Amino acid sequence: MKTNTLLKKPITRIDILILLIGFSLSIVFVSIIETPGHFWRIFGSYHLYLVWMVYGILFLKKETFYWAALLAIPAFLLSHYFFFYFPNGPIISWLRYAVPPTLDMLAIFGLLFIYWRQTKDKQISLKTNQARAEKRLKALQHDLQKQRIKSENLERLIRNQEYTFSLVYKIFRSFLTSRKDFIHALYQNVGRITRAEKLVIFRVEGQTLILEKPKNAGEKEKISLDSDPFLRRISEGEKIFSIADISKNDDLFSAWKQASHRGLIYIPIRQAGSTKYLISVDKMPFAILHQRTLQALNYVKKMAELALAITGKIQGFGSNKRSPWQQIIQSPYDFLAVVENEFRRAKRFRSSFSLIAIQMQTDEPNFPIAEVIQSIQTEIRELDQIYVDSPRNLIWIILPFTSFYEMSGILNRLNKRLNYLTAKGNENRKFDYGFSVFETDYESSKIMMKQVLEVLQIHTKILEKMSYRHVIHKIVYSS
Amino acid sequence: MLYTKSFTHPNFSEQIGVTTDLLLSKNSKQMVQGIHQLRRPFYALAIQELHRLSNHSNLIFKIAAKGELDTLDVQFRKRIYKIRQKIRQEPDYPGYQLALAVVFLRYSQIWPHVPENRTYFLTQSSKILNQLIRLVQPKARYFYYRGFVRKEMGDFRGAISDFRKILHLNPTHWGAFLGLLESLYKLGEFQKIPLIIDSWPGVFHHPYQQALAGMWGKENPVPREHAHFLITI
Repeated sequence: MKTNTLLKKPITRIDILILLIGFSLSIVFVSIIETPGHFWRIFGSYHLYLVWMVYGILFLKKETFYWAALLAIPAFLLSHYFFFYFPNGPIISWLRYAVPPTLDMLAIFGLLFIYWRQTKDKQISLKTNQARAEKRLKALQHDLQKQRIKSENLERLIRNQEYTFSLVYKIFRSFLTSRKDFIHALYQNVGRITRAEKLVIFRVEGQTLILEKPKNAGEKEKISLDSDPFLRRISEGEKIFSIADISKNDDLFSAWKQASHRGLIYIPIRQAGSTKYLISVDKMPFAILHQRTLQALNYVKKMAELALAITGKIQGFGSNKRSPWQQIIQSPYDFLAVVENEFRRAKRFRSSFSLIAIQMQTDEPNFPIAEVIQSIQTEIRELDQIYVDSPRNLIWIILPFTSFYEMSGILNRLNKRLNYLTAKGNENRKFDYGFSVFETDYESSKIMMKQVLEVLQIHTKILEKMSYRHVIHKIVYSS
Repeated sequence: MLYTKSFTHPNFSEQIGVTTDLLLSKNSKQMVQGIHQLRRPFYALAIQELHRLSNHSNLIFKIAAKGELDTLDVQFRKRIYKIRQKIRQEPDYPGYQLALAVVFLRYSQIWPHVPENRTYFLTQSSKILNQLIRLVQPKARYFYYRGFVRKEMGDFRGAISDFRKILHLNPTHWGAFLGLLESLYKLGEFQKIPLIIDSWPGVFHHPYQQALAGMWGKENPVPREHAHFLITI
């Protein structure tokens, strides 16, 4: 707030009232001494002015009031002259009686004016403060909006990253676990990503391309690379070539036009420094042919090459079976560690995993556990694992990356086997099943955590009896 | 493909992302939910996906996809019936004619496996649009939809001429731009695509647009996304 330099203390209404009373008393005092008869006239008109001022303060606009108050002073002077002194009155006596009240009025007016200015300053400062606050608020809101957008973008980025990571992991898994063969997985993955209407996979053998898939499609079964420099160049290279890259280079484009097999995307799959397979996407929609698709294809290529490198040593995918000693978990804490690992993996890739428990109830002294395990091993998949909980006659089966439906399918198959075993054995022999599926989506990882902890707690109770307390504490509290 | 209406939708890409997530999930409930979501927003790739899923080996997915296609069919029939009623009331109003042409174009897209139905509805819509252009008023909107109809019918040269007209009036029209590019792609004139992308006066805001420009354009190299992924591997 601005303060007047002359009056450091801001004027209040009470100050004005005191000043007003003081001035009027001084006028009364002076005029009573001079001429008591004339006093009442001036006093009356002066008080009329005061009354008018009060009325004006109450009911008029501020600016109009002050202009009117200023104009009222000469009006008072003139009216006083015309009423009492015109035409023959002495001017000196008029000045003597009229000037002091006008000065008084002017002083009152000045005081009121200063008061008004001060309040005006106050109002202005209030207004500016309000405006500044609004501005600050707006700026804050703008900043918040920016931050929100930033965080949203970051979230989207993370989501995309996780999504691509899980997708790539799925692709890799499809290569490793495909029942049919490597070529089938390659065909499916590339077809799904590119939405290809036409897709061809060649096997490269020396200087010839041999059609691998699809067969009976009216394609050339053999293409020799000697007569085709374009295909030779692509099959020798490591990069994925798309029509967008080819069309930018005039020489390459003219070579592409003369090539014996014209595709929109060529993907060479390499093994040990040379291309083993050449995929060509012949027909696909324009809307899909962009950078992101190419990135996804790069991941597919990488995963396929990795899978080839891993399985090349074992000679083919058909013989990629686990040996039985790898499939059976030996110790209880290994079992718990595997469960925990599965939980973590499922959480990371947003997939599900399942557990099956089979209880054996028998009176037989020589119960054929080996036979039971063997029959289970024939039914479960290659990546599944078994743990035999012998003190409680339980068999645990861990099924990674399996939802309820897949698990139920496996359980059906197991049921048939075990029914056969019960029919084969003693009357008292019996098998019971229990299962738990740990399914996740984007929100329910907490629920999953709970479920796993419950399972682990059950295990702690079991293993407390078996005096493995230190191990359990370690596992539970680390998760 | 009609990107015009769908790209104006603010959450288009997010919605598609959610549906793809659902369709890729191993949980069958989520998968079915994803199938239910495929119908909206309406675009040709989603319809193709529905047709693919209607031949799925799992009965649940098959039924869900077929149900969605059936509901789409019924919706389109209802819409056509209503527009025809309106046309009977006001035969001279061109708005209803245009609506009928657009609905025919969309309806033709849910018949990728029945070429007779497809060609029938496409010819109907092209007939209406030609009438509108020749007899009523040569509006840009009519040319735009006729471009798509021609592209769907396989008349790519005609489609290009229509899209060029629109781009002459409004150079930053994304739908016409994409239609032009796609028809050039279908014609096999790949070398013209980067030239057109580089002379595009608009700005590529959407990540899809950026990806497309980064792939085809010479002067628009977009920095590689997901580079962090390579580090994690």
